[in-house]
Amino acid sequence: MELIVGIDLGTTNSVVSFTETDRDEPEIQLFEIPQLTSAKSVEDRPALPSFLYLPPEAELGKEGLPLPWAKKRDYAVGTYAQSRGAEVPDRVVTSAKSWLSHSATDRTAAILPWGSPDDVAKLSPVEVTARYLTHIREAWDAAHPQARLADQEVLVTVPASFDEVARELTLRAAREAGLPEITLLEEPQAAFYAWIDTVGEEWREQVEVGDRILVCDVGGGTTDLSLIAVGESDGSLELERVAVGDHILLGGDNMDLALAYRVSARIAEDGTKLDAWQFRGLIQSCRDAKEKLLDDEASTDSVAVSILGRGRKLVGGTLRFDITRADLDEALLNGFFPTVALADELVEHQRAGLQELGLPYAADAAVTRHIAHFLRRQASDAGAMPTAMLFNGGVMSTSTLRSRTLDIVASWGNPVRNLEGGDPHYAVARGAAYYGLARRGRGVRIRGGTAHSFYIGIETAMPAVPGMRPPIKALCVVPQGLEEGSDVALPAREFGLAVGQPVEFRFLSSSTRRDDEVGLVLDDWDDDEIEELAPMTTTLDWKGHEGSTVPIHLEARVNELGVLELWCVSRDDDQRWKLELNVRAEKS
Amino acid sequence: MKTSSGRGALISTLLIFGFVLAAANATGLSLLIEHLENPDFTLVGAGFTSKIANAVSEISGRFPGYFALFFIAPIALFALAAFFVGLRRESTPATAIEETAPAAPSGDRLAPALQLLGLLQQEGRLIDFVEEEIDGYSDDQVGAAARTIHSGCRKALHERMQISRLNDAEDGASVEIASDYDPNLVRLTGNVHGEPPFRGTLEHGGWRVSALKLPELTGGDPSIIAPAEVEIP
Repeated sequence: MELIVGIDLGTTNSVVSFTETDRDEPEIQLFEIPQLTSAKSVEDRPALPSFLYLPPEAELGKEGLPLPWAKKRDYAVGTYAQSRGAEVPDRVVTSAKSWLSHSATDRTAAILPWGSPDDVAKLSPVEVTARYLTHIREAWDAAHPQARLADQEVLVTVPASFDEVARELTLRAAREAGLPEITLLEEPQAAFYAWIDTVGEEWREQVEVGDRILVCDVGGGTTDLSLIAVGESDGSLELERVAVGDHILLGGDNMDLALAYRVSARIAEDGTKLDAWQFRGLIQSCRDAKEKLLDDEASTDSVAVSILGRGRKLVGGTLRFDITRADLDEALLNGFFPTVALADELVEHQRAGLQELGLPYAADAAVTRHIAHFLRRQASDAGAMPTAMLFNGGVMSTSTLRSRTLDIVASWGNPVRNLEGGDPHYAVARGAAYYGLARRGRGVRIRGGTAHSFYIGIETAMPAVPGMRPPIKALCVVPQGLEEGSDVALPAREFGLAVGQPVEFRFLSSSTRRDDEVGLVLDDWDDDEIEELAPMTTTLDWKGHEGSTVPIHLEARVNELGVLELWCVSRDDDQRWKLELNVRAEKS
Repeated sequence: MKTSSGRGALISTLLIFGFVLAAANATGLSLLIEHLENPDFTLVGAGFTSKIANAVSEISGRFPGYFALFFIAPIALFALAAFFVGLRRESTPATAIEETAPAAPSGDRLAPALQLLGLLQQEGRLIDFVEEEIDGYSDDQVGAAARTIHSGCRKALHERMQISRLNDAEDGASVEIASDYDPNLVRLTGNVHGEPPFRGTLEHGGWRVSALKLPELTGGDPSIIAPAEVEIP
């Protein structure tokens, strides 16, 4: 029995789905992940919260934190780690995935939990990700001893906005977790696949040629946008992912926090100051109240909320107050989903909610303004504006927010309809399993290829100026949309490289320059158009040729797993050297 | 719990050992007697068992007291050993309880019940609520707390079990009680006379728990339903 396993490695929750390949009508199921729900008990849950708890030595004792498949563990991931995170924040790693994509830090350095004192043994974002994947692999293997995870086809989703370094680091984490061969898939695409799987063959009735579908995925901690175009080929519908957005650190958790801050400020005016423990209770209450008030059938204009007293004075210490519709409108709708015009620029330096130091949280909390920004850059003419939207993520499960967002996007041009039928919580994992089937010809595939175009930086010859790096030209080596399993070579442009010495190429990418072709050289560009990534390096080892200079050209390849590879190919014989992303280097 | 089941196994082993030794004694004795009486006797053949039976009945008829002693002695010896082992099992936890008074209910049998209490406390603060004196508080204050306790306890239960009504009819509806009704499922009140079928008013739909799944325990003492919390400043 060979299985396809889809893993949604989320910022706040990870979900695992699977399907059998030898069935006529494969059904995609969720794998309930056993995990610690308290220090000494294990339960199956549909999601594994992406939290890592590193307890102090004294707390571990002789028993440690055992799992059914591991006698002794000195750390915990999942529900228990999440609940300890509220109590011992210094010892819990959160949002490791956002750190994985944070290009301003060394992502392989032991920096997490961020900002915690020195007595906590720290881990790198890659190691933390590897621990989540290790837990998933071990839990899976314990439940399926005959079908170990490493022997199955495993697909892991990443945000469409992940740059090549973050994708490479995700692969590395998977290797460290004992999953050497995984395929990466972009989350908004996965959400769209899940929608196709849910509505079945009828999906062809719900879209038509010329449709442009904006996938809006608002998770717990990130917002991810993608545009998918519906075309036609040989009389049948064809899907192509034509644009992806930037990495936006803004999600449902920010909204709960914003509401909690608003309510706590009002309580403070009445003379009651909440301590940290009570504030955590308030966040939870706000989340529940938000869901109640956003519920379509909700007719109430306020929800009574109480925070229990701590310790034995439970009733005596209880605080009681109301969260009103006005609170919700102000904190949530106006704060995160304001009515904006397409031309509205993102607001800089306006901060909403709690800011964790270190991560580049979105300065503008307005999801709708981020959508406008994305569309302005990716769909400049009106004909390219979206005609339909697919929503994903827990926040968007309420139809109030969906219809509000739809109305705002529709006000910018075309009428926009909603693609109903998605499953906002588990769609990404399910879609990953569907993609595994599609790769075997048992479903529709979205054409997409590389989300970005890539450039090698060539330093221009100019007199050295102290304190200034020589400006570079950008040579396009990979066009946007290069598909899996295809190669491009640049034989026309030769470089002379010294054997036996490390070689470094500066490496750049763009999510907006869709029409750049291979070989194009750019002298000048806007800063928000092209972004410099970590450099690509290799050392040309060639026995017997040390000290000589070899003429090479560059060759790019996107392998079957969707991973970009760059090669230096010798002009005169078959020698090749792979360029690797130097992820350790800090961005200048 | 592991140690008590280990002791149980030891007791059983001792008792079985006693019986085996007693049987071996009896067989050996009978063979000896057989051999004395009939030197050509071999230990092979289908008649072996019946010969033993014959010999045993013969011997026991001839020397009843002597034979019985051989048979009973090992059983008695090992039963005594088993008794002492059992005694130790009873006494060890008893002293432990005295040391760590107040007494903690323990054992496999009670673990799931304690676990459930633990969940209701951790997620719904039920024990804190029950253990607090609430007479001095206003209804508003108690009501405010109850709202949160209610949602916590409900979540704790619903996540681990399915609770469904036995009778789906609305409260107050007229329902028929069949002649072969199961008294475990229906409790009749009021003027219960004559033979069923009956017709009556549904006062309570009843509850049934189906699909209960408690967390798997990986260690710890289930009687600690909530550890003390200490905040380090």
